[in-house]
Amino acid sequence: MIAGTNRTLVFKARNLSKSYRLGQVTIPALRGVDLDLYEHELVVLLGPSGSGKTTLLNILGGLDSADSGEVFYRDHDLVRASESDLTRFRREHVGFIFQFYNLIPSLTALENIRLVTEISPSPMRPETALDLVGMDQLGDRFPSQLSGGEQQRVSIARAISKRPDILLCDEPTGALDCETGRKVLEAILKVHRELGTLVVIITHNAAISGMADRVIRIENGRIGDVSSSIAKVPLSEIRW
Amino acid sequence: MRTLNLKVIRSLLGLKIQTTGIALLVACGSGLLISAWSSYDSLRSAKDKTYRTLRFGEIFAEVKSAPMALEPRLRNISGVNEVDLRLVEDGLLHLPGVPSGRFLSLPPTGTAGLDRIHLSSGDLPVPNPVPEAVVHQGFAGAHGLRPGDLLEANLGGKRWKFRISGIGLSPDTVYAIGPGAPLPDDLRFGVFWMPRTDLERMSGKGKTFRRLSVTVSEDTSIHRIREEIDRLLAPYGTAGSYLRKDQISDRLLENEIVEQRTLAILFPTVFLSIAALQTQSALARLIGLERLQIATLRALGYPHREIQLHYLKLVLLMVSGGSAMGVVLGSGVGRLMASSYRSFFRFPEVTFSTGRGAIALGIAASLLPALFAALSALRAVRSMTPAEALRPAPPPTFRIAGIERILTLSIRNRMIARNLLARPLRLIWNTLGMACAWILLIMSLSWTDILSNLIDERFRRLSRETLSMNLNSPARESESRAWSRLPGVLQWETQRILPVKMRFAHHSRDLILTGVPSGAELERYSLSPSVVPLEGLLLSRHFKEAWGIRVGDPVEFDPLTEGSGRFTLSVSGFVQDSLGLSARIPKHLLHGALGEESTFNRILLRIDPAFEEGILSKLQNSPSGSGILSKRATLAGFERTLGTLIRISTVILVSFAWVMTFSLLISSLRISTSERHREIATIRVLGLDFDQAFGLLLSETGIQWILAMPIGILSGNLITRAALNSMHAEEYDFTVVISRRTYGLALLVIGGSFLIGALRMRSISKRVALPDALKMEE
Ligand SMILES: Nc1ncnc2c1ncn2[C@@H]1O[C@H](COP(=O)(O)OP(=O)(O)O)[C@@H](O)[C@H]1O
Ligand SMILES: [Mg+2]
Repeated sequence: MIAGTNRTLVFKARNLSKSYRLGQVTIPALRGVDLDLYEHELVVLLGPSGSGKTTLLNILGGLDSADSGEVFYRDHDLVRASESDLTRFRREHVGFIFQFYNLIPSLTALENIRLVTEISPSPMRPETALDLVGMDQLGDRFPSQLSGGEQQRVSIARAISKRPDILLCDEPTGALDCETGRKVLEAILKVHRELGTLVVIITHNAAISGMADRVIRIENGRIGDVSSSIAKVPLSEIRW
Repeated sequence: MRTLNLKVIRSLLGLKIQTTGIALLVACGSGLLISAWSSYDSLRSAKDKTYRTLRFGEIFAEVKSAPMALEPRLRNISGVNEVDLRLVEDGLLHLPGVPSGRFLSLPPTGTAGLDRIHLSSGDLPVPNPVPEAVVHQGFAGAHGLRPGDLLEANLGGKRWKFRISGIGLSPDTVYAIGPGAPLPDDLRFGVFWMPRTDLERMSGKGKTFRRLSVTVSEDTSIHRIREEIDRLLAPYGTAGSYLRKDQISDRLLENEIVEQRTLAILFPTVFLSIAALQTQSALARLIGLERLQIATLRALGYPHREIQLHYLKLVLLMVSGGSAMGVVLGSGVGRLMASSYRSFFRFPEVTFSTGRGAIALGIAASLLPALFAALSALRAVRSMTPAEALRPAPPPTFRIAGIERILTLSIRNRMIARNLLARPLRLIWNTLGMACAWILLIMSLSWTDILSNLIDERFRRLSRETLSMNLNSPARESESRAWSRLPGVLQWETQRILPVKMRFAHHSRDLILTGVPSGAELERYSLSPSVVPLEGLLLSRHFKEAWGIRVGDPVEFDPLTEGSGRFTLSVSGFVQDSLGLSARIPKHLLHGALGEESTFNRILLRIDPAFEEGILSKLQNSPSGSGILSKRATLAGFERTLGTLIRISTVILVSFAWVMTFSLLISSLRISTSERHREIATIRVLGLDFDQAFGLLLSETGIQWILAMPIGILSGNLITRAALNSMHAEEYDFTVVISRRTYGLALLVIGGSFLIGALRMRSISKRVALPDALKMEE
């Protein structure tokens, strides 16, 4: 299960750099990141706040562009991709989950998912997606009628409904209490297991790392220590 | 606290577009008010000043001809301060277009007396073998006359040469209007002043006078003085004395000034209220967007009062920038309007000054609604606990929209429908705000429609002659044949006209009573004569409304120029006269009232254009003619005077309306964009491209504009009608028409602004990087 075995490479990033310009000052967010991500992996990104995790995830997901270096999604060059290429890339391959759910308030849970399934090449049925996250009873509710955890599970359902090749989660449990957070993570794990999606999760919570194939530490815009676990800890045994 | 002040500046810079939009709205509303009000003020003070310095009389009378020997007795009437008696003679001038001239004598000492002359160039005339005259400055301007020029005139049945010594005007001729002309026209009619001795010689009228002007001391009974004057003049043929307010120049002037006042109050009021509404709604939404910041400030421990002050400062800066712009804009535009008055009213001087009252009103009217908006939005934030306010604003309660039960909508259309319906108040408010843009545009654009309809109706469909000529004295009907046989005459028609003083109850008015032959074709009094047939006396409907005359009421007529006595006619109906007031009667009835046989003193000709010049010169040399009007020249005169004034006002109003529409649009689009940018970003993350996401937002605004269209057109129509009808003055009774072109132009302005605004917003929100948009809370 370690890099080097003959698993298919999904993301290949080389010497990736990105800095933000704020007036006169330049804030380096990524300083030469090399990273390979493989099919069916569950990867946790760990690191202190401001270390560049979100920036990296955004670039992988086609939400942002790098200043220099290379990123390939299979054979798609993401650095040189046009805006419409990136839009199509997101539409066809990427599922996003944010800390603040970002559901469309004017659409019901089911409709939020339909918004995605309508434009994806090979979506699952919206009801199936809701079912997967255990929300099949609440499809007709508007976001404002759902709790935070429920909203996040809808957002997971929305992200996976297109059968994405990759699921990118930026602190998905950051706004949730432990118990709810656990339910959300269970949903993500279930998707990972049943669909075999490559999942990248950003989290500050080291306990989650136990169930990952790899835990990648990011420090100060660089890849630090990478640890791989041979046997993943089952979710139920994780101590929060 | 200093940091908070810094935030005021930062916020203003960050809200550039909204700030500019709101400031422009405010600037337009207050600017229009300030300009209209100040130019109205300067018009009034120009009038007062002219009257004072040129010693305008207070009581006037015309007589057929009275001896100068009457002067001491007039002067001795107790309470009379000054008496001024003038000889008046009308004649034709040998100038292109054969204009008519009115020659007035001057008091012996030149500058003494009443109704004095203000010279704009040259000198007062002195008695001379080749007589000298001062010419009215309007006429001089229209004909390019200069001091020293030699002119010729038919006067007292002879042809005279005279020299122009100077150019000027007098308070009684600020408005110089020819007999029977609907409006002042400098090409067609001019006033001349000559030394009495010269005019006596030329007219052959000797030591007589035809016009009296009098001032009185303050505490006397005007009524008694008028009775005395009337008694003294009665033997010489007079229609009686009248007050300054009934003097023709003053009355027209006052009419115009009142019209300007309506323009100064009505339009700015509508514009300003709309600006206030729009400012208020834009600011309320803007502060709604700042909710999280307000909550944070409170969480940090700033007292509510401090926060309130902070936002009041922000709003005040925004709006006062606008008011300052409004003051500058207002004085600029006001100056422009005042200078257009200058050519229309011809006061010796119109000094424009921006009225302090107008500025105060303009500023108050822009600040108050803004403050109100700010305070009410802040109150809403205050009613929450800081914790509550710190959470992102709860979305409105969305529900399945009613129309989804009728129509199956796509997911995206559902979003649009639900977003619109989730905030019904805002939907209504925004829609009304957008409808206001229509009102503004229709109101200002329709002026052109009204003007062209007026011209078409009055100068093409009602009056269809090419030329008309007044005779010095009535001629037998059979003599009209001679005119009709001139080569090139296609159609002809005679009239019997009589300058009269018309009286009803305590009202009186000088006008022309026209005897119209049956089946008149060239000059029609109504577009639908069958509705009001000419079977008796027909009056302008102004008399019905202002004098309260009913059909069947007896009205008294006192001929002003001819020796016959007074007579009474009963009213048979009323007609709408768009320009000027009229009284018409079948010609034979007028003959009957005057006890004369069939005569005419006005002839109308429709002429083959190729023959027009020839006929004009023939008319010019006929000794019996006293005033020749070519319709082309009359129309041109109208275009030059009233047409120009209306056009200038239209351009001003339309520009204001356009800027207001644009600023409303751009600021409302900008606010919607910031309210929803996170949603747009999310949709983009889900895989829709930018334009699809932005299109959702645009459709919401677009739908509101579409909803606003029928409301705006309907209310614009109603308000325009109400506004213009309320401003119809004595002399003007315009038909309010709103053409398709106006609606089309309004649509173009609104649609164009929408397009420009949308493109601008698109590029602005496209510049925001996706991750940033997702990160930003609200
Ligand atoms: N839009 C931005 N403008 C300026 N600096 C930014 C922006 N986004 C992130 N940064 C900076 O880039 C660095 C990395 O940020 P981020 O990737 O969000 O970190 P993490 O997600 O690990 O907390 C931080 O120093 C942050 O301040
Ligand atoms: Mg982050």
